[in-house]
Amino acid sequence: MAVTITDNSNFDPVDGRAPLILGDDSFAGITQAVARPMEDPAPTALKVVFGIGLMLLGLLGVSLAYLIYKGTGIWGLNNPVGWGWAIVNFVFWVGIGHAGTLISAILFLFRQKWRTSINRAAEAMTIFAVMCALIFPGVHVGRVWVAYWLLPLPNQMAMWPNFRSPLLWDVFAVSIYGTVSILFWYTGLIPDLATMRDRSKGALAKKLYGLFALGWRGSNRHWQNYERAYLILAGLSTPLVLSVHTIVSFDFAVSQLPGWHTTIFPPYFVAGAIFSGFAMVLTLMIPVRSLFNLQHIITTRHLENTAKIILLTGSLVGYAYAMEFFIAWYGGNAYESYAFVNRMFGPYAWAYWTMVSCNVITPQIFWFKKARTNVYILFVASIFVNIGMWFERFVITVTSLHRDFLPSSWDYFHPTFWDVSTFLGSFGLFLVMFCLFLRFLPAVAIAEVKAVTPAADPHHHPHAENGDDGHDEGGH
Amino acid sequence: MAHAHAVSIPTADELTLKSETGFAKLPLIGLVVGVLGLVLNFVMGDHHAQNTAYLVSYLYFLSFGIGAIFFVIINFLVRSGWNVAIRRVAEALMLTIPVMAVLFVPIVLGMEDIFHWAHPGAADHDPILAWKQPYLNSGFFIARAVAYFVMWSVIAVYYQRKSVSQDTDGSASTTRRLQMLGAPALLVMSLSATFASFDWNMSTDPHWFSTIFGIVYFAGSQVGLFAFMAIVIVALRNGGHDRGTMSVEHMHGVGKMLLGFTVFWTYVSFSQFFLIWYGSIPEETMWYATRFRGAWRPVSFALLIGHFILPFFFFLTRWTKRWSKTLVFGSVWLLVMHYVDLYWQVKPNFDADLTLTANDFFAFIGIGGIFIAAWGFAFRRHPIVPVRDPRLPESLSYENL
Repeated sequence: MAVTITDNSNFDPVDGRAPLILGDDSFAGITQAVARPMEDPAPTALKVVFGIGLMLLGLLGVSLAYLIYKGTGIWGLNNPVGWGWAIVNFVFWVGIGHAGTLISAILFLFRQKWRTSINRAAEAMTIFAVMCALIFPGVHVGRVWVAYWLLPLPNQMAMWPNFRSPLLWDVFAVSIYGTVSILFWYTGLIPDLATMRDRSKGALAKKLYGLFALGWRGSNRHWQNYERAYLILAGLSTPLVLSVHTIVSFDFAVSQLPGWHTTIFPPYFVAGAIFSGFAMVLTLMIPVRSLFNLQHIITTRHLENTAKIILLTGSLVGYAYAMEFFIAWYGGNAYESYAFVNRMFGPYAWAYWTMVSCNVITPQIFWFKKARTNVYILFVASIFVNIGMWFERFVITVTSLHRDFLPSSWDYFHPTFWDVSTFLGSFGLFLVMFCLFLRFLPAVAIAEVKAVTPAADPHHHPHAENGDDGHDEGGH
Repeated sequence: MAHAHAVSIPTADELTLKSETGFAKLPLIGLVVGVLGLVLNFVMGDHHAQNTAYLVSYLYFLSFGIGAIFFVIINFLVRSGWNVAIRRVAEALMLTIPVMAVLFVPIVLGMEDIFHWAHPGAADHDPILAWKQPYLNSGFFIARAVAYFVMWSVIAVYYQRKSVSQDTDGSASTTRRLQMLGAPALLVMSLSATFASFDWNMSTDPHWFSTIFGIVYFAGSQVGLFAFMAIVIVALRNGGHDRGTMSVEHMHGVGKMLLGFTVFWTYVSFSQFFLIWYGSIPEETMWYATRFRGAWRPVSFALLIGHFILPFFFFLTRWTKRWSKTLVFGSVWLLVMHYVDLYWQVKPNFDADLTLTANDFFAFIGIGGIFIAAWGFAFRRHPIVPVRDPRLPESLSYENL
């Protein structure tokens, strides 16, 4: 090690690209840094979060049991608002997953090497978020025991689902998404599982890691197959980043309802999903990196890049709000204009302005580098974005429904205890899964991070790095 | 990160186009063809044919300049390295914007004929047009157009000037400044290009509206831009003008962007079509109804096949993006389809039946000639590669592994 760099947030690529890993970037050092937290006794904070998660998971169990016993009447649904928190929570969770897929697939195709420090945890987040999301349509059908009717299974009753309904496309889109995400995540895990197999002391751990490592020995041939599979899965996952939330947006946009039917919905939903997902990445990674002492791998620069994507996607969402509003007026359709005026100044104005403050105004703070590199600001802002994105789905769903074309049936949606408990309970599932992941699987893709260190570069010359005047010399 | 494979950087002089090359003759040829085409367009046919043909070709050639501004500012914003060697092609395209501002004058003059809403008295018996009058009125329309052109020209000229100034001083702070300004410039460009597409394209059917329309125009402009860049890069390489700075890797890079934006164009165009078709609300479907009737119907399907299915599978494999002949073929194809797309967007709003006129051709070569002249003029004035851009070495060693 020539020089240990402790801050890479101020490196200007014009003067040479900054290193991604700070401090000890030797192969052994990286393995050690990632594997240690799994081998040491679990930190108290993790135990506390796990405990809270378990309690909430219990709440979820009770809520779902009561729901199955009583039916969807226990929720606050009323006559005009036939779609309440269930769809809001579904879209919220599916959206969060998108950041993981974007980081693992699209940033891979774009050669964004900084992705390697955060992709593993983000992909785990994706899978758990999809699990949470799937609860809601699953139980929303009311008769949970026939939920399999959602699938086009041949049966004697000829109960075919309606292929013209975007809700059915959702079944396909989300289940493909879940499957590919798990495959992608697992493929990426294989070399690291082998590392854990070789490191673990307990016989059972060795067996289990070894089983899932599929006999990985790190041979040339293994790596070649691995890289090829990874590229193919990245290629397959890339359209999924767009398709899943596009189809979720179709759930609303194919209708004729003012506030739902608008052509910008597909890209707008995708941008919003990535926005919320990256916020969740920050919410999760900021505590994880300090809990596990991974600040030299998940550096301030990684957080800063995440903040920049939040600013970009937040602005795209702002653009979509602006277009909706402009066209609601420009279109000259009285119902459409009313739906938007009602959003801003009607009974749900509080929800609308919460959404705008959290989604459009909050990310503007990331124009400033000081905010992008301060973990406290990043963390608080990420929470605001999470809240804002939940409210966005609430605003879209409920404000468009609660005043329908017949004023006598207008009503106000009040969530019940069970609405809240089911939603909080889904966080329990998410937290429990995420804590288990942190405890038993490497939270950082060890093998991938190693590949972006200078030592992995075949042209590596330890002392020729980052020449002071990168102006007219040919790379390094 | 990137590894230099001993590509030495030619001097600024070596990279300046010599006057005997074909490229250097483009301004003159373009100007002659352009003036001839414009004169013929405004001599032949009736006003209606002249103006509508002019608008389609105008939107087509305008899209390259707009696409180029997006390309340049985005690449600075994300601190991209690979694009540097080919960036001058786009920088010269940006400078067509001030020329396009002048070419906008005939549209203002023909406004009453082109835009139904601008027709005196049009709003008297049409409550929807009356409703839209605060936005769709001649004065505000012209004021907006002036504002767009000022914003675009300022960004285009500023970025181009700064880039050229780097050829002499190689200053890294120039790059930093352009990077920093990339974000606000992107914000300005997104909003202004969106409203320009509403004004000049969507409002040709003043009753119709679509929130995604601005993004559709943006996507098309990127397809056009990368197709244009691919052809120029191959031509420069074939003539040896690039002195080895532009490699197969850059062709591949541009080809990938072309593929990506072809898909993106399809995604947004299909989203627009599909949601309107499914919702089936008369005030929206009428736009597509016209395009699925008579001779427009095959054009709609030609777009689906020619602007998506064929180019998608054509450019999916690696070698078609790396072999000059296939890259140029696919790019020319997409340039044609980009024109068909805009023709299909605009023309049915004027003529329910597809009628190709001589004016369509004259307007195309007229505006196209001036456009090529402006581009050629801007391109030959400076070295065709930013020789002292701090990221040029990285771009020269760019590889698609």
